[in-house]
Amino acid sequence: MRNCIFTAHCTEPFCDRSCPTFVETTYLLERNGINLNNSVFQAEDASVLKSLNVLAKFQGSFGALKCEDTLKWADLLTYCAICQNWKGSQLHCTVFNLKYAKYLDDLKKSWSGPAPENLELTQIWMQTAKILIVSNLDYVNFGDFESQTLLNTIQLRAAENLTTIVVVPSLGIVTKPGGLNSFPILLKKKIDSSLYKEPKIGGIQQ
Amino acid sequence: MSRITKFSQITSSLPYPAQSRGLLQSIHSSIVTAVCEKGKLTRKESRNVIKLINTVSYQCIQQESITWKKEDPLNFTDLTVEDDTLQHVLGNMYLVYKNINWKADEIDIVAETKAAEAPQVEQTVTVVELTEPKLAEPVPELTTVAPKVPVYTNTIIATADLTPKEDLYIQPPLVPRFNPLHMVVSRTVGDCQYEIYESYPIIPKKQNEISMTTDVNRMTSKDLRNLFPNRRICTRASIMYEEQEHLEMHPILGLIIPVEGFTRDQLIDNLIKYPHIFRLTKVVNNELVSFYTTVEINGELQKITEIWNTLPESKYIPYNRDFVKEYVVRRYLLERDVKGIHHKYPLFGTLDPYLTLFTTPDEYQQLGINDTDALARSCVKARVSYKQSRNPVIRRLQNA
Repeated sequence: MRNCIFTAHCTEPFCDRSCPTFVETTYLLERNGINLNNSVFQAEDASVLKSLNVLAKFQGSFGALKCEDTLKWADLLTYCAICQNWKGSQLHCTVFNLKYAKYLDDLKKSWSGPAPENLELTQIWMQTAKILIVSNLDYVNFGDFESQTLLNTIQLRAAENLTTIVVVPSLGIVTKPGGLNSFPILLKKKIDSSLYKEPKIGGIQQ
Repeated sequence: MSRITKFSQITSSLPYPAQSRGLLQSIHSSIVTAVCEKGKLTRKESRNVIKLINTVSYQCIQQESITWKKEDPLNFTDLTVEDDTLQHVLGNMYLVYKNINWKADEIDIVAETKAAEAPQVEQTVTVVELTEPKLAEPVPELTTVAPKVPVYTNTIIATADLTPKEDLYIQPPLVPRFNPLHMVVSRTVGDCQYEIYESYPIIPKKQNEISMTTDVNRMTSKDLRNLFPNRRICTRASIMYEEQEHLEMHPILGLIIPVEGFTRDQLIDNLIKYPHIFRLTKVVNNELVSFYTTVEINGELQKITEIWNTLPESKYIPYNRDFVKEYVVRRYLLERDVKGIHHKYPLFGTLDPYLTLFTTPDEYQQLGINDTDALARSCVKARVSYKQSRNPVIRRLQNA
């Protein structure tokens, strides 16, 4: 991004595009693929408030947000998390939006050839980011491997008190009925038990 | 804090910041001791205890005046900060009620009804109105029956919709928004392309949403009224709301800092117009320097540390950072606004009256300002001017 998100409010003495605010926010936005065309910059008050509530509710733990437009909500959660956590990030990837389907593709490609360029970095960020948003689950065919990988990530991060929020489509994650696949069922239970519920009134959580 | 913690071990498990560890541990220990001595709490009281601990941490971290008193360690009347705000500001230091183990310390949590049925116990219900909480004054008691000892005090405070302090900040909102399709400024200087987009919301609902692109003419009277907080917010340094010898305490505005040559009314008017002082600078030898370290006397800049004792006001005003800062700024503003002095070393950027609306329209009327629409309009104009005059991109383009 060439422009600072704070320009219209900025009162810094000089702008040479090297101040920590610009550098840290831009780094995190670029890292998470949020460019100027993204709708997050024009999000409504209610959506921003809901995102902040979701982030507050699941701070340091695991949670899930069920929604229709998973792409929009994952980006908005990521943007709000960046706005809360850019200060002092010192170019560490404190907020990371993991596109899960793409990650699985990259992972599987690495089994039969050279690992894709960003795979190693993705694995580092998904373990160490203060806030991890997991999106792009809509078309993942959850078998044992796919579920186990996600469950393992959730568990490892929970042990470190790091925030992990999974954005799932309204229909939920499809699991194969019957069979011997136990991990998809475990994952479904884990997500269902941590779903975000809308507050009743005035930000009071149910 | 996400692990279950014994109530008595709260002080050893909270990750206190180094600079306020001593103070917070001492206050929290007093609260814990008072609860352990009491031994029995209603569920509401136990929730209030946790909120009290969080509120004290919040006030300390935000450098606000701490409302907790040692003489009355379990006074729950000032728990006005919303839980979301507490959680957001405190982060890991935020105590979650469900994570507290009370039983390990033999503290009984009983239902409210049991406490009400207990013999020789009388409830005093104190109601604080949502629109005008008396923050600086004792909470009025509406009971007509003289309470007997012992008394369980249940306090009902409407806190859900109180305006948070952050809404008044000059700093940008937490999540800035703008319309990338609507450029207000777009120009190339040298190799750099400078662009400023129209900020969202176009009609601000809070004072901190006002940006340099806000157009006051698009705002209706209703929109303007939304900018007022629904309670009085202490915008000056916390010490300005504590009694000081030789200084008069205004019931709404806090301490009145005397400046020689100006009347009490002029001083009060100055406090109403400029209730908040934030990061002011001036240009000296082509460099931006802090506004507070020097004072201009007869066109000459004097270091405040060197001339403080020669000022007649120094006999009354305590010599510490917050008071000196107030004195230097208010003296400058009074000279500028009342005497019309053109300073050789003026403020960098504009600072117009009513930049911050710190209280309700009703209370402004008590202070003698009846046209609240005009007041809110002044606030928007002052903020737009404040940001435009300091914005580095605008200044870069103006100087190109």
